[in-house]
Amino acid sequence: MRQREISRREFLKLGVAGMAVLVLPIGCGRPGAGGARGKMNREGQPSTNDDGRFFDDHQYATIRALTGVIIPEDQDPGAVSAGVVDYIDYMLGAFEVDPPRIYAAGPFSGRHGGEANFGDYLPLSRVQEISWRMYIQGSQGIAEREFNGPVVGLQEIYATGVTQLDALSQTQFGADFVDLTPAEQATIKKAADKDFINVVFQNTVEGMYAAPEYGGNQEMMGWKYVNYEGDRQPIGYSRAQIELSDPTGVLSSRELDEVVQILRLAFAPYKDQLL
Amino acid sequence: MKSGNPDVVVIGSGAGGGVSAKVLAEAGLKVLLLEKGPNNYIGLDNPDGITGNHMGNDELKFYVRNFVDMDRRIEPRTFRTSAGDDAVVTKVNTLATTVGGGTIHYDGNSPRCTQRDFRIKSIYGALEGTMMDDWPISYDELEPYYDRAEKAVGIQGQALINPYEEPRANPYPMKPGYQKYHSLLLADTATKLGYHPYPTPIALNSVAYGGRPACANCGFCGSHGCAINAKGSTAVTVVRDALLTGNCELRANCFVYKLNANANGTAIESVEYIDPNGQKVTQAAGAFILAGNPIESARLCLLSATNAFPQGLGNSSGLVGKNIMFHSVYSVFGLYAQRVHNYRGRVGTLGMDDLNKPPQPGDPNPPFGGGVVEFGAQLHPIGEALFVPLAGKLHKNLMRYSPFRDHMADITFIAEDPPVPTNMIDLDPTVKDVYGFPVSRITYKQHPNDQLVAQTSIPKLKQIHRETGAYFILAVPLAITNGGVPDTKHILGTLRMGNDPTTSVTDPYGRFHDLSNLYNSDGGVFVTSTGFNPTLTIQALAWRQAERIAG
Ligand SMILES: Cc1cc2nc3c(=O)[nH]c(=O)nc-3n(C[C@H](O)[C@H](O)[C@H](O)COP(=O)(O)OP(=O)(O)OC[C@H]3O[C@@H](n4cnc5c(N)ncnc54)[C@H](O)[C@@H]3O)c2cc1C
Ligand code: SF4
Repeated sequence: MRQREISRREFLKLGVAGMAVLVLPIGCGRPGAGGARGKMNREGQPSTNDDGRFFDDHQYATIRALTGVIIPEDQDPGAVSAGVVDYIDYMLGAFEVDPPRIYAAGPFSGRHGGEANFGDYLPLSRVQEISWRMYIQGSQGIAEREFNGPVVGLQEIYATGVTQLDALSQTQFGADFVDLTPAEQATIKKAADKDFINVVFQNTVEGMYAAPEYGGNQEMMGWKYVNYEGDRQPIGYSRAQIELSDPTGVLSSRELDEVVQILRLAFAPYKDQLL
Repeated sequence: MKSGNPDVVVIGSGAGGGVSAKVLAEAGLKVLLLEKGPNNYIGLDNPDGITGNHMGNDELKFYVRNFVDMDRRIEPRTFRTSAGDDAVVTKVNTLATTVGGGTIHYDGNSPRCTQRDFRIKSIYGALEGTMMDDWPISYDELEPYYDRAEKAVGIQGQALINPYEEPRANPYPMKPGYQKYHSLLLADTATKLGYHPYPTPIALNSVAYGGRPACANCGFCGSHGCAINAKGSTAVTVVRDALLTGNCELRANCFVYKLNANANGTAIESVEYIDPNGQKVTQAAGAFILAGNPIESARLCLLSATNAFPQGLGNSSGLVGKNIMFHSVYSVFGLYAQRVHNYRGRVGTLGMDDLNKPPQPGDPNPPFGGGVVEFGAQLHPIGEALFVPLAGKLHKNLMRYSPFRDHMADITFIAEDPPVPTNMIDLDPTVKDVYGFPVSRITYKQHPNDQLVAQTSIPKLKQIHRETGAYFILAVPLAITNGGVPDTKHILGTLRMGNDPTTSVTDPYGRFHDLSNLYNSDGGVFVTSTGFNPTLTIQALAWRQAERIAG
């Protein structure tokens, strides 16, 4: 049997006691990097793989603050409440657990029936592993990762990014990024390296709206505030839920105007290509 | 299979390759199916039923982390708009790397083409700057194979509603499933305006079929694999059928990088591939079918160049890789006050053919082509947030009001793009893939006709939104969401078929003119791109070819 094909179900069938075998941590994470900082929300399931984080305490606090500038708290929770930094921390530490925390196994989360399998991870193929190690750890001079030259990994991008955020913060406001007011942090975000901010934006969005098993979107805060049900298998949706418009959530003309303004802003760079 | 060489090696287990494997294996031939991606199913060859899969309603895994889509970090591509430019590494119409290929995460729309689609040159005449031509086969010849493919993968649909439909020997295997709210909304207006909407034929079970359950309308069809196997991907249908015969062996995580021809270049003797552990393996066989999708199949011919055949194998015409077609796809969005929750249910459940090659009475120079219109789309929150990358308060409002996921009804227009010989794939001179081989370099520019088609068609689609009461309407070419680079997911041409070996690469059965035992069964053989989603036609052509090979 190919290793990839071993799922929780197969394991149970084979009489192996549970999935712990597949998610056994191979490193204990960094000292002080335990569950104290945040916990994965697993909707009542015990957290089996709260290991393998990457950030030190200062990096953790800094990135948490930055995600909060990208998706702030208002009447609804933002990235800080939803634990987006945990998502990023776990992604950077994905290879601290085996199989790495890249692809949740599926097919079901257990939230709507079926056996819960999102908290287990799939073994990667040889080339998938090269891809994800390149992305997260960088090529580090390893030949099989440098077929098109050296690649800087996310771990280094984040570590450097935090140092640069602090340097900018010190120069402008005389304190580290975490110690600034939200308004000052927003100013620093605008001045910071665009490529770094784009990476954090993308990862923040992922962590806010991805399935909670990946570490962010805790208590499904990201899904709830946008009126979204998340994964639905195996029950799916009923005929009425598909064929009829839900009476809730009708936008007022003020809200529609606001949306139109956002759309105009978003599509401004493509103005010539609109038809 | 364990002893001796296979009769046929099929390279790629997607739309075309899956069908090739089934038909050949069921005819008793020994088939080896080589697939560069992983097998994400458990018990695909279990006669009692598939035991499990690694799919799921997981937007991060599928939409962002390319669980089944081709991974551009290890398999990059480069792009430019004309031959004089430097190509840049970017996302160019990636399809799949997995057992089942693009049919794992496609929407499943499976229309047949019409006879008019195969006779485009006869209808419109020649088009400057193109190799536009009629197909060497007719709808009538393909009809029985459409019928077989529809039954094998399981298509829901309803005949005799669409006035442009060609004659069918049989009804659809399944009736249409529930309709989507925004599809109904738009189709209703379209009907009032005199158009002819009909339930989109889709490769999803509306009832239990083929040992697989009915679709649960979970809303994670496009870009995602089906968690319950209700989608008729080739993995859970024809590849499984092939494996169940005992005549087909599937080897996943095996990347084919070379075809070896005999000394005078008249036949292929073996292929070389890299196995799951990174080791090189040479495999001989009687015949070979390229089914890696038109970009990868053409690339493989070019990668197989030798001193005797410096232009690549099968390339005496010089046309291998040329005439690549992607369709010109447009999204016409309408913003509505009420929720349309497009993230629920199948992607789009109704469409119309009125804009595919419409007759233009009195117009001596009508724009060539047009294509199918789909009412409906599907988007989830990560997609919405990345589509409009805004931070801060604007992000929160965008996500709460959710124009694209919850209040936007989409009309997708898939227009035929003509075969232009300078639109092509060749090998990039510098960029390599993870296996160390030169990657595909795509050169593509829209033909001026494409703009004419958009100019005449888009206003009609905007009118449908206006009459439906949209608050705001926006029409964009799909490519703008990908930095102007084609990302239509439809890849056609590059190994076009025809009777004349100087103007085509393969014969009317998809066999290479130059090589007696080499075939193409993906969309490479398409002569023109047609006005329809291509997959069912790829499958019908693959079926017809495999019957011919089996004799
Ligand atoms: C989101 C999405 C929605 C879509 N919706 C629709 C739709 O509604 N209707 C429609 O008709 N089409 C749709 N498509 C397109 C559809 O997926 C393709 O038309 C179809 O899969 C193409 O079939 P193919 O046989 O050419 O290639 P593929 O299905 O891509 O199969 C090729 C296979 O070959 C493998 N391969 C390639 N090179 C090698 C090699 N060198 N060695 C070994 N293996 C190799 C690949 O890994 C892949 O599995 C959609 C696609 C996407 C991504
Ligand atoms: S909508 Fe239906 S066919 Fe599509 S993924 Fe969901 S259950 Fe499967």
